[in-house]
Amino acid sequence: MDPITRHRVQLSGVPDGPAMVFAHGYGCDQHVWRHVAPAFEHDHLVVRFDHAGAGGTPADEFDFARHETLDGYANDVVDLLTALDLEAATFVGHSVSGSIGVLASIRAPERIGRLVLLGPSPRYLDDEGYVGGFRPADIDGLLATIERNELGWTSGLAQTVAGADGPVSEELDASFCRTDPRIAYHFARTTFLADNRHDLAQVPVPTLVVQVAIDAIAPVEVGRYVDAALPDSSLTVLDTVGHAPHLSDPALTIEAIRSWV
Amino acid sequence: MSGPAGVDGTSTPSRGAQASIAQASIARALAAVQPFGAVSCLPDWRILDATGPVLELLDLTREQVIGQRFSSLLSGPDRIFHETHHAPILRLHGIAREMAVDLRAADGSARPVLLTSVLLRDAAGDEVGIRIGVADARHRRRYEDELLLARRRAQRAEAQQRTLRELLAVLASAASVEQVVAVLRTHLPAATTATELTLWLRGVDGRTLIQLDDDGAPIPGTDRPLPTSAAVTTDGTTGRVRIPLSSGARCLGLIELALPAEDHVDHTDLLDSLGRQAGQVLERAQLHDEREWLLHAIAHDLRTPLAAIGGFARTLQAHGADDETMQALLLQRIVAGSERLTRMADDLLDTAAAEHGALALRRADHAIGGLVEATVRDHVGGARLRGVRLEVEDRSAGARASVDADRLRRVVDNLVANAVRFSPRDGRVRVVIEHVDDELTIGVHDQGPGIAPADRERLFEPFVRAARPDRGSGAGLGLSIARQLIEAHGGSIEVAGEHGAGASFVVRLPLGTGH
Repeated sequence: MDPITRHRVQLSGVPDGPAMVFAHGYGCDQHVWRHVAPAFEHDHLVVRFDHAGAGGTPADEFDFARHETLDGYANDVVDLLTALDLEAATFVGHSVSGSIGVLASIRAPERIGRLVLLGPSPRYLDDEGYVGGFRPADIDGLLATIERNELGWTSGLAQTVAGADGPVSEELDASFCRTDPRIAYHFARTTFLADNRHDLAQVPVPTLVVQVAIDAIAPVEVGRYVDAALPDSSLTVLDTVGHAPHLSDPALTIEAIRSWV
Repeated sequence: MSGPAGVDGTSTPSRGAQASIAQASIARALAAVQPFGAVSCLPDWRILDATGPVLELLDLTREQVIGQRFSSLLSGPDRIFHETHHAPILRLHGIAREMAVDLRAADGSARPVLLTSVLLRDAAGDEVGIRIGVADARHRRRYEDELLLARRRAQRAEAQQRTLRELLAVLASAASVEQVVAVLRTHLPAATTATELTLWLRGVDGRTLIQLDDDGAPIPGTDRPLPTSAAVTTDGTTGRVRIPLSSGARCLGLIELALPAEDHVDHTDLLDSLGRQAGQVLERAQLHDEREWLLHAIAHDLRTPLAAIGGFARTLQAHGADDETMQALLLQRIVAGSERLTRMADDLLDTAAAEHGALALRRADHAIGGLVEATVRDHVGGARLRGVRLEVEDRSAGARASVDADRLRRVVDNLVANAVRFSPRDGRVRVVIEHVDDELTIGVHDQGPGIAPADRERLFEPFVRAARPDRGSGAGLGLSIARQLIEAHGGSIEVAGEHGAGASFVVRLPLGTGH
């Protein structure tokens, strides 16, 4: 399967405009860009896609070995940009996709001209002299939560067990954020056990770090760390709360990106 | 925190639509999870209030929770889940249903709950708050955990099934017995999580199994009866799986696996077909081995008389003309050798014909006693040279039967020659012809080592190496063709006698048939 089909690529905006590629983080899929991406359609070629195993990508084609580390996802991005023949694209990566973009920019600097890292974290686990915010046990326990929730979502079990007539799902959330739990957990492990702190210094392109003031997943200290470690970086701190400002505060997010671009 | 209305023209209508969908779903969604309590938050998840039952569940006071972030009530893994799943879904859809997470009570212990959250908006579509319905999920959680466990088991079973299928494919390409054994030893433990694998192959007697060591060599004294079908047993800690390797009704071997009881394999059907496939490959490999050996044996059998004939002929060429006695002797040897070759060719042809069910007898009416006696007489000289006394006792009173005389002679020849060959010096071979009721029996009794009961049936199988090590390298068609010929006459041939006290071959011919 070619990368464009495999990653469910959605193109919009100006066909011959500068490319802006939106990469979702761990947990959901390209739908998370619903409120932000359209703001760039009038002067950009907007590219949205799903990471392997996420959203609508075929679960049975997920390559567990390739995606054992974030390099696999970075290679996916390079393959995708190559297939689309994009050059000097602006890569907007949320959370773990920030690290994926960092790796991809080192691998293919001709494809990626600029990086926007939204709530990035090069390492989620605490380390000596470094606060990532999580402990290994948190990652282990995540599998049970993912499985438990996937179980309820897909089987209708929730209603059955609750003993009531449940609401019929009339919305389009049938597939949103619902990955095969084994893949979801695999991506979670890859994400939360990754350590890409040393890669930051290798980034060859200008970078914008967009950090939320209060973020439970990527604390503000982490954003400052990333900004300091990158060779050519600007930091914008959004005065808001949450790990997904593109969903909770799209206007602030759009403004931060636009003023830098 | 402000909503995006008016900032982004494309998103406002969809948000409004979402809001109405969310409003319509609130009542039903909350009813579905039978919330016993609720937590109200600002859009940034700061807690405004929590109802009594939620506070009781968590053993917290209202003052302790108000102003806290909702995620502070969650455990580490669930905080990740909340940020990466729960919150994004709520933002995108206006509602997030039945998130199964653990809330943390005052003492740090987990309280399984189901959360159904609704994003509340004002008339303009701006976010004003989040209301989280909390349902106690303790009972459901137990049920869920069992389901999860069952699903993990099913997934493991599925994975096992897949590897077993792959193993079947690998097995199909194995060409020799060694390869079959190697494939099973290498891949089966991994495919089944077995901690122990024991392999058995059918012994030469055809009735028992003998265990093989790691190098594939039989371990003496490990005989056991043939199994019939795959079986799975467990003693609580260790499961044992028994897979016969069979081809048709023939069992050629057995695999026994020991595995942890929790990895209990329940693919009896699949294991059965694995066993059948391995059995067929095994049989094919064995047949291949047998054919190789047979060709060798036939070539060897042909070479001996051919070499002798050649030798005698060259001697005759060189010296024969000078000495008439020598000439006669050599010619006699040459004729005997060519007759032996003819008999061997006849045996091979008859065996081939019998295998295709095309053995045609040329029957005629004969006095059996006389026919047998004349045949035995031809062996007296040879027996005497070996120090063996050959006796014929005809008690058939001239009974006659319709037989193919040439073929019956070959049977008797064969039995008597064997009896003489296996007799000790000064031994005695007795041939007794009797007429009992409707039957004529020809018994050939020797005083040789006899034949172990386990080897008796196999003696008559065509193209199998006899269990008697001193039988030489011949193709062993003699007894097999003897049985074919006698059975073509409607009779039977069997072997009896105590092991160690001589062998008795008894041919039974019906008198009434064939006319």
